[in-house]
Amino acid sequence: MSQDWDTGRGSMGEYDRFRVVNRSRRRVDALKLALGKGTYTDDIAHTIDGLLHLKVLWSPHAHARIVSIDTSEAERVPGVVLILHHGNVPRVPYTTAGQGHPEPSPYDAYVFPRKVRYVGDRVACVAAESELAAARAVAKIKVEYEVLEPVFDPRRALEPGAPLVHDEEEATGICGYDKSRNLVCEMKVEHGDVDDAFARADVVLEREYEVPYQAQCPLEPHCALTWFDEDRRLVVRVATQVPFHSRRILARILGLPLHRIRVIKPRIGGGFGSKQEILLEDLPALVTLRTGRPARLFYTRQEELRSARTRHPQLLRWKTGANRDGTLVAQELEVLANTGAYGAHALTVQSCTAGKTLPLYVAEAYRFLMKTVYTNLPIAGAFRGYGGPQGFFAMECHMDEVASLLGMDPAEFRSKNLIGPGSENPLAKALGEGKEGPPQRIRSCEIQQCIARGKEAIGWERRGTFPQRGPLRRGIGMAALMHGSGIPGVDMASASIKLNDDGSFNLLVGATDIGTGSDTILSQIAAEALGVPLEKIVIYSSDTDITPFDKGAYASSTTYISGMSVKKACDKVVEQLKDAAWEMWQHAGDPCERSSLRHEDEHVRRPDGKALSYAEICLSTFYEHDQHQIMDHASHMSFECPPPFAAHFAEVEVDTETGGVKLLKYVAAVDCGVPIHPENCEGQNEGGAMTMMGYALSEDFVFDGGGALLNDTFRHYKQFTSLDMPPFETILCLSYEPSGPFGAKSVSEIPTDGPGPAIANAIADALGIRFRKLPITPEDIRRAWRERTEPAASAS
Amino acid sequence: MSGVIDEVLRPADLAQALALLAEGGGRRRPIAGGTDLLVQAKEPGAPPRGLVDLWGLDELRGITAEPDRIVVGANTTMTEVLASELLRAEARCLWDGCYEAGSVQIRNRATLGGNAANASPAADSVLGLIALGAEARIASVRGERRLPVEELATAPRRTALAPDELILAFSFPRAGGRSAFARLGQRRAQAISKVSCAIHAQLDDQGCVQAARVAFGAVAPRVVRSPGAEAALRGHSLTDPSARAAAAVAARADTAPIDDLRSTRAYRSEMVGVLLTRLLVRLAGEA
Ligand SMILES: Cc1cc2nc3c(=O)[nH]c(=O)nc-3n(C[C@H](O)[C@H](O)[C@H](O)COP(=O)(O)OP(=O)(O)OC[C@H]3O[C@@H](n4cnc5c(N)ncnc54)[C@H](O)[C@@H]3O)c2cc1C
Repeated sequence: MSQDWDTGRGSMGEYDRFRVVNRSRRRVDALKLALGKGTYTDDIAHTIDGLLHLKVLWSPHAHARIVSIDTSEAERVPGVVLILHHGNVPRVPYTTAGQGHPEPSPYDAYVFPRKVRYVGDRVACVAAESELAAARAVAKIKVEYEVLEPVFDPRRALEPGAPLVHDEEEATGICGYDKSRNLVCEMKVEHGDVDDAFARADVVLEREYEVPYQAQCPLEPHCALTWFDEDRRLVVRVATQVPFHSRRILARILGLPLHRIRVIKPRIGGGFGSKQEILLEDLPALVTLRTGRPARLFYTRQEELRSARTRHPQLLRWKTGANRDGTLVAQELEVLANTGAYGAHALTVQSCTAGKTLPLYVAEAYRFLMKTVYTNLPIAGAFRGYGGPQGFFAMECHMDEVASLLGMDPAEFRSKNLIGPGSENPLAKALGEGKEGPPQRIRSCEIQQCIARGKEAIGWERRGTFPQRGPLRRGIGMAALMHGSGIPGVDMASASIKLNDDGSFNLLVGATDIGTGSDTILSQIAAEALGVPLEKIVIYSSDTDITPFDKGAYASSTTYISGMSVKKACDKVVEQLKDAAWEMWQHAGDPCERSSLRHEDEHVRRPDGKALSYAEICLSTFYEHDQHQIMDHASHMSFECPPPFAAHFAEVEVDTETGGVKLLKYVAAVDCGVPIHPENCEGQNEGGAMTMMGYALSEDFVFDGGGALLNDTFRHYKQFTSLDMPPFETILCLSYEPSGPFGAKSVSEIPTDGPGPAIANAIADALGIRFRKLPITPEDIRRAWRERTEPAASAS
Repeated sequence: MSGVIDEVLRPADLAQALALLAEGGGRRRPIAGGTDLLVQAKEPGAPPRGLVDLWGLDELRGITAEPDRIVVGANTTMTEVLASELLRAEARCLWDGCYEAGSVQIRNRATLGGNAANASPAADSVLGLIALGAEARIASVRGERRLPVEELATAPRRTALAPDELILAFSFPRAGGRSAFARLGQRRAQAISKVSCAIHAQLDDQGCVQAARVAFGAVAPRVVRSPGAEAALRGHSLTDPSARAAAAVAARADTAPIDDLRSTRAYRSEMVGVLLTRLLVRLAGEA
């Protein structure tokens, strides 16, 4: 560990001087949202004249070739204007994944496929004067299918002779893409001499784990409105996390010059990754292009569950070599992932499964083997956590199992092996975003503090002291976690800021607030940097015509990357303010030392107490002397990806008679650097963890024999509700990340990594039974408990 | 293609409601809170229909205590049940069933009449009504009749009601005794029961069961009673372990659960015994 490596501890003093950041201010969009001002995508639909409504015909088959489509009867339904299908729409291979360029996901999708690949695949789309007419027409489209044998099991997908999901020649991909084996990507990464390290380890443990599909379920479903503006440019108002990627990909698949498209992101009702996808705006866009009329598509909840995106299911094999003294020696992870019918985010999600997990513990050697395959099931994609939750479930269950094999306290075992400030991430290079990644070295890291404070909050010392009798059994479990902040070397964000004559500022950011609160925290960062109250920042975000570029809302990058672009732009504007003030004093015959000027409280100040307000400076630069607009812009890209760290703790009470699990308490202790908005950070932790409590205990995809999702409504798809939430404590363990804006790193994804393993570990502690597959249902628990306590009875 | 509601009628009083239903000739359906009907109207293949809105009919509201019976109007919402001290004291199994059902928003609209007439095998308030020995007061333009609540549902979404008939109220004896309800769901709110159980027991001075009524939900095509469990309890103390065990075994024999999206046959069958045993413990005041 080198001395000159800045781990941020020296900068903690700045913490006491913050005025706007590190404060829980009212969200800048709170009032209009609370008052229901029409600010979401679809809110304006009723005001658009001549709007066409779209409905999609979805595939009823998991795997079938479309032999013919007969729309003649559907066209006769009154109100029908246009019917689109593969026969009348150009076939351009692309990926729906909204990522950087060149795109790491395979080009295997088409606006309309000739072959449907899962129940819920697109077949055709009707545009009509009303939703009802469109729906009626959809029901009248006659499609002849040649039904093909489907493949549902990812293991079977790789076997010789398995049905091929993508047997058409256009599909291409990277990283081992081999559609003749249903293989979407493959990785083999090694660090150190793995076999030798395992051979030298005192103990070796190997276990298999399994995690299911999960649906993002944003409150606002996917929806888009399109129209031509007065210049016949295509305007796309869409619920998206990635407006700039949407514009780029739309231009490609529509064959339209990019400058003819404007993508506007209004307020968004959540995305959780499902809107990091060019999922539906291509259809209304095509309708507008063909008819000249405005068009609207709005998914139902059922369409959302069947045909949007999901979390990749995975089979994981984890192998650990350790010494008797509790030192980790070698780690090996093998993943077989199912991407479903198309490969959106397949490579990058699965590479994160290793990239976020393995480096958390120091070992001599690591190996990561990964294959992701196509099946005829729903499409997986980006989902908050992005491969982390799958990997952490396996790793953090496994660490408990290794600790127990060694007879060690699981918290102590972890603490002994965790990385810390100054550690190199040995896998960073190998696990880049579809290419070699920049090397990573940890600066800020308070994971030991997270564990210590989390233990105290949950009452870790009670673990192992609960009575082992009666139907109700208690247990406590934990998980240690890390995530990332942006994609190093790839993610770029930019911001521009200009001064107004009342001393306020217009802040334009490409960053995409999808309900996360980023407009608020970016305004806070600007206000802090400029030395003005929050109210003086007027923010406008993500409109491809108006705001500068930003990669979009994903990869935990907004605070860290976009935040820094805002800070840089503001720092430059501060220099301009000082220049202008200096010039004004100079001009007035009252010169001063440029370097002595400070900015504070909306003023540029001199040491002798004289000051000019930003409003005065603006008025002068607008109208009186050295006229110019004080404004600037900045971009930010980081080769560093500072991980936030966390330790999660769950206390459960398991009813051994019913198999029911009651969460008694949940603690999330997190080091996200300096929390820009502490309350928002708590909200992110609660929401992220809540999503994954359902993953651990109640959510699952249930398919019929033909691959159709059976629980495709909220009636049967059971997320956690507020009533299911246990008392929840977020502990913000402060650190200062030198490479982040005002010491901040990311916070939004790391909470999704913990609940699966923390709850499974707590259940294992309560019952002495290890569940390696999620969700852990009452039925599973009851069966396992009966098998253990009454082996004879269960044999019958 | 979802069903289309092409007619919504708002009768001023009960007589008019009955007349509108009679004229509809099976095309019109009564709607109370709409929490079942409006969900079902979206299902594929739902027929177009007219609705006769019962929500404004005062004749169907109110919880009244008569000297030896309690009468609960069909329009009574679950929220109104929860607000009733009388029902909490004397019809605990009904009260608990409403407490566990849906969510605040659903309970504000969900009526007892709708819950019973919807004929779901998992209807949470129906178990309590059956355990209490309730009968439904039913009316049409042709006159009034009474039917034990346990005979109301015949199969999932099928009832013994004619298309022009309305449930006016439920009434049950104020017989004293103790009652309770319990259920298991996939989560704590907005989840249809995997298994549910209600019991009402009449005890003698020695604490022995004189008569018991036991009902189960989600383990048969409709909410069912378990005559076997009732017989096994009769004459025994609530604290008698062998009577409890016999009742649990009998209850499992009287129910026929299936595998579905929410749970498995094996789990449900086992839980029939577990829930009944737990309610017996609760009634005996041991927990
Ligand atoms: C999100 C959600 C959660 C739910 N959770 C639960 C739950 O936990 N437990 C549970 O038991 N139920 C639950 N339900 C189902 C539903 O809320 C109940 O069955 C409710 O009691 C139905 O009452 P209603 O007044 O809304 O009925 P409606 O939908 O108005 O009607 C239901 C049926 O009853 C008929 N009907 C209504 N009133 C009468 C009458 N007086 N005479 C004759 N026929 C009549 C209607 O024609 C219709 O067929 C849930 C529903 C939803 C949407």
